[in-house]
Amino acid sequence: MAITPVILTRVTAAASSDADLIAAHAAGDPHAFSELVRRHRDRMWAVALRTLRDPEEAADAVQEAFISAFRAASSFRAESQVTTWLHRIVVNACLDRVRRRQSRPTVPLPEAGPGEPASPRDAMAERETRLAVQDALAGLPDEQRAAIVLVDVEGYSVAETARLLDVAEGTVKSRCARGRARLAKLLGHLRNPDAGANVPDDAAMRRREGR
Amino acid sequence: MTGNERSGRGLDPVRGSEAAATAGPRWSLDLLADLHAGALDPEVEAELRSRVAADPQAREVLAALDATVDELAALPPVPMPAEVAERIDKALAAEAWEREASRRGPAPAPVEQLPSPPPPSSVPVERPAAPVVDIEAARQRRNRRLGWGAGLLATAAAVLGLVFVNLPRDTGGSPQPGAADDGAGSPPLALSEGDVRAGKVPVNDVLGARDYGPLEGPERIRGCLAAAGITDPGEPLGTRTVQLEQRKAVLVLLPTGEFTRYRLVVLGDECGPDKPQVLSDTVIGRR
Repeated sequence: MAITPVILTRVTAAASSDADLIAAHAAGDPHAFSELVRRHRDRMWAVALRTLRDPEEAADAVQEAFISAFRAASSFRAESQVTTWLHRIVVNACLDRVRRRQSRPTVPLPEAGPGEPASPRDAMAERETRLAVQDALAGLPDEQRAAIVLVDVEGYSVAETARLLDVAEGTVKSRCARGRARLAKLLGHLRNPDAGANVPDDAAMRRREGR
Repeated sequence: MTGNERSGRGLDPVRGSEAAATAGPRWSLDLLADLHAGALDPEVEAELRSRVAADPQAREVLAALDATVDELAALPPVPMPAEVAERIDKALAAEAWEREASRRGPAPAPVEQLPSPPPPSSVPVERPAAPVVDIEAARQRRNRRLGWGAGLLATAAAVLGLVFVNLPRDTGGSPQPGAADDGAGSPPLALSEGDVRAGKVPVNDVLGARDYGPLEGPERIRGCLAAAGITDPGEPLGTRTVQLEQRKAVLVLLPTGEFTRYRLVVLGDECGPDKPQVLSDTVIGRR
């Protein structure tokens, strides 16, 4: 197969860092942003799908976010991590949608919906557990779910999550704490889930949210 | 980490047991969850841990929170479905086109305020001087014919620095009106086999085109490609009726997975799912 060097390129995208790609995008390289998207889209999708729980809405949110990021690249501050910046735009797009739809009923995540492949090797029990966890997640208040999805499911650090959600680290910890407590009940990990409620809460000991 | 491990650090078991014996369990689920999440002040945390250490019930709660976190972490990854990825790619392509169009307008582009891309040492940053077709004229033609998609992709190619080959339109036989059923009357591109082999194809006029000519539509194109063993070609970047050495054919521009390389497949006009008819198969571009 003949390979003719009739094409010249500005940037070898595959070998570039995220920051290089953003810079190349800002300078006019039409492929740089696509490469950036390709690198990060799975994780963005996972966050969006689990935050919004509706594949259509998740797709809309991620698309909207990437378009915003495309346009906003000129305002990108080089000192912040590209990935954090990009992820924050996605998270914001999701949270905006969450806020807008507060009064609307949510659509449950399909059992084997987009990107949630059912592996034939999975034992039934594992699958049931997974579904139970997804259902339980769906039952959390939106702010708690966003924090849990980012920290516990997607593995972002508390500090990263705080930057993504634009809240204090203490707020992330508190939301995770509330969310995990609720999930532990919903998932049946607590032998006596109501026991905690009968014990006087030493509120004075509790750290204030957001501190 | 288990709840027991957590509660076993830095504890005062004597004090903890005294507290448990005298005051009962002075904790709540939420308070333990805060402890578990590291949301408490250090001194408060230390005091609570000492009490928790002597309290099996509290340790069970911490273990339950650990199990919850473990289950959350075990949720499988969710890769973006191909159709969503494709949709986003298209939206971004449209955006890229709009951006490029505005850059070429009178308004100054904000490029100068932005960090510069790392100049690749071995690759010219400036666009090549020649031989480049008149992009503006080409765009006007394409946009009339094909809508935004072609203009976008061609513009993208121009920015990328593609050297377009300006082929004479009337070489290799007279155009056949009507051959391009989706080309709004544009004549087939006249190509010689030598041109195609050498990659001398006006990519500009193929990118974004959806001119299936005698092959009718994308489904038959896919069938033809599959028959030729090209089973996972990716979404064609452009399809255009061509006249290859007097023979009616369809040129399909396929992605290669590398930004700077395209695969040119020329299909005969009789090809189908059971009849491979690849007249030419060439990769153009540069690694």
